[in-house]
Amino acid sequence: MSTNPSSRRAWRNINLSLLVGALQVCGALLLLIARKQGMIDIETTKRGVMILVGLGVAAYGNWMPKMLEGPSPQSRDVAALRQSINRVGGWAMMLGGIAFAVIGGFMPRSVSVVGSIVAVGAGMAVMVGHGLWRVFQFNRRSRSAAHGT
Amino acid sequence: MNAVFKALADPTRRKVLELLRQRPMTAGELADHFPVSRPTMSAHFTVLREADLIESLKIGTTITYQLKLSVLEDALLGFARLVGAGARDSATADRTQKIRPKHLQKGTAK
Repeated sequence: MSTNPSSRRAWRNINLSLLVGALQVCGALLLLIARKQGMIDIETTKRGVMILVGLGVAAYGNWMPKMLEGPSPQSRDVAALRQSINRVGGWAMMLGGIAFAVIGGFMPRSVSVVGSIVAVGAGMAVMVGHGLWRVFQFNRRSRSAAHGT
Repeated sequence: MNAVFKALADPTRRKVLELLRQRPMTAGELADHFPVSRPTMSAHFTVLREADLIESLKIGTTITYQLKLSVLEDALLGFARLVGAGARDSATADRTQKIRPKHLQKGTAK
């Protein structure tokens, strides 16, 4: 493995994501085995998988601000931009994931499917919307600073 | 996780994280907000870095610190701030002396 800090960080992030994915697959397999053994019914299996998926999204959202992907920023403004986007994105995805798990796992069937998708969709909309807004603001400030000099 | 709790237990370090929430700052800018010496601040930064709560970036010729909190750590910081809101600044200054690196403590020991 590389000694380059950015490379090491990327490997750690890949390992973490693989771990979250593996836990989800293992959990789903356990639910399937329990279903085959007659311990749980099909509805519980589906809801269990929804909870697993939601918790996976929440776990990824939790780690998102810590990941700091890509090369080191060249200026403090860029570092501030990255920090802000990662923080808001992390919170949005974590809350979206938890909402997905709660709605998908415990709400009535008529609400759970649409509600859980709306919850994660809203989280993603907040993340992308905030990111675009911050980048737009940053570019506008940079342009006006360039014109001022 | 123990390192995170240790780092968040100190009001000065919590204030550093609060300041870094606004924007990345240099060590000098952060130190200006506290009535403690630079080596003491440096020790605080070391504790925060070891807990993986901040990251130092080399931008140009200056070292800039930026926040590296997971969402749960961020929430924990907010909770710790709520609980420790009554802590006095003077108490902070006294406590921060205890975390100075050993080689610095030796030099100032009487």
